[in-house]
Amino acid sequence: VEDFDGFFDRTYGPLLRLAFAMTGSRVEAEDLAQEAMTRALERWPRVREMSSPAGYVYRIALNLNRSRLRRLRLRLDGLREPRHPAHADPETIGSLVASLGSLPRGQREALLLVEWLGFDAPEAGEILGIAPASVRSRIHRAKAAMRIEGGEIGGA
Amino acid sequence: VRSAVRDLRERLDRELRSIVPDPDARVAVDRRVARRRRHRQLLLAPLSVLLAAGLIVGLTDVFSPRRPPPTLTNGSIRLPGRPLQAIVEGDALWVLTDETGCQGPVCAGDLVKVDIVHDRVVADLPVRSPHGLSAGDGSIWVASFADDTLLRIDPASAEVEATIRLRLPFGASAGDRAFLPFELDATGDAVWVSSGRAAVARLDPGTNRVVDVVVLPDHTGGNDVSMGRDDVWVTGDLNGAVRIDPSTNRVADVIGVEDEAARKLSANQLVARDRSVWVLGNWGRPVGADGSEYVAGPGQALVRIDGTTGAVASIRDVPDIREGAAWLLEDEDVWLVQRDGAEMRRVEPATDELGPTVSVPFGRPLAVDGSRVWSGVGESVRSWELPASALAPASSS
Repeated sequence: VEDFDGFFDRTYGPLLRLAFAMTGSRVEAEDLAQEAMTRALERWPRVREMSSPAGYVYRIALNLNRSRLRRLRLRLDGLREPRHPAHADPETIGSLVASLGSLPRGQREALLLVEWLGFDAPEAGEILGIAPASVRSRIHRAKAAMRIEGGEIGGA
Repeated sequence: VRSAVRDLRERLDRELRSIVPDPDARVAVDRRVARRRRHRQLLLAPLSVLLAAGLIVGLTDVFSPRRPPPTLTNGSIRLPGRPLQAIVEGDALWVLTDETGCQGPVCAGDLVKVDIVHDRVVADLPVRSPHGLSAGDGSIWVASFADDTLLRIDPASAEVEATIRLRLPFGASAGDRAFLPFELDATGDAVWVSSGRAAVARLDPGTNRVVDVVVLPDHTGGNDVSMGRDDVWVTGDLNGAVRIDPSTNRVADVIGVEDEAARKLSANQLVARDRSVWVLGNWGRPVGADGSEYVAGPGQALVRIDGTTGAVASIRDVPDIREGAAWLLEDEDVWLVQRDGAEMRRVEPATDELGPTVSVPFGRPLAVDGSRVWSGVGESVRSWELPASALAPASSS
């Protein structure tokens, strides 16, 4: 059974990058990643027995990001100004990560979990709280939006 | 398809490689756990322990909303939450903080007073969903978004001197007159508070009463408000900058900003200085039958408006496509913070020039005080010094 320090060293980097790819902000990403790890540490005896402790912290981080967005929307309720997905400057961080901002949040989550972090559809479904078929469908739509089917990746 | 997916993974790996963890992240997690444990113990303590503690330390302290001041650690000043905004007033840094990890619509927050001579927290006042911070008329002013109130704070004691209720003069929906204060400016002879619902309230600091509420054109805008030399300026979303004549409390001018490509600037933040008004906004193009909605395009711009003539004097694109990735700070100078807080540049007050780019060593810049910059880092603030070159007059654009 792994200790928390080993788990942290192995998982924090990918978790932070996932959070960054979702928020487009280093500060928000660090905050989400630290909060997810805090919750894992508080429940570590239970979390370490799970089949995928990493999946647990990814789920926490993605849920926190949803809450963050909901809260942002509530704060901005009444504003007429439409919001667009928070995303990074392609000059700073790369055009592909920046172009993820054009995807709906659910598709972005599924694409990152499966195609970047290497989870399979049932594992990603468990993290996202949706059926594996829905994961596949979201990835399909995400790839279509990013023009991956034809062998071309958008955002270049 | 397989090679495209492999390419996707490799490119994501490559592009995300530069996102490296904060070296203090592990320590920060331990601190969060420890703090939560302390809070939990307080909440779960039996009544008898509470009463016993009350006898020992005094019931006043037990029921006081004040929290023990955080301690100084390695040059960082620990705060009770994540810093949102800050101003420097005399020997104090006033910081608004938000509860980290809050998941509800109403979050706990604090107004924290930091003694910047000794770099330590000296007072901590809970404020629900704090939004907007300014100093003026011998007081610190902070708005509570959730409570629809403006708080007047005594800077010496950090106690609330007055609580002023804000209401819209119109219903945003049936029975809903919530003002939702967003930003404020108290630096003149009045306190102006903007509402996310396209209104600006004027308060008389002599009586602590709202004397007027100005409704913005088309019921749009109101994210930010700034007092210039003679006028009050408010962001008007796609309307650009809205000028209010303080002698009549009426809208005197609406200055839209459009570039050669017919993009319209949606103004998010502004700073009025002497005869210049600096406006930061997102480019967007109107859509829909009546053009009242728009889609945000890529890019932000910093625009200078001549406050005397109302003419757009310059438009300068800012290298950030995301709203919120650039913002303005002000002390004696106006500063443009860009690339999500990684860089900042001084704005020449009387020209359209920007000073040299300064790399921010850590955190998000929150306030500038001469050559000292205060950055928010996690749940702390920490200061650093600007290089002398950053303060030198800009020689070129």
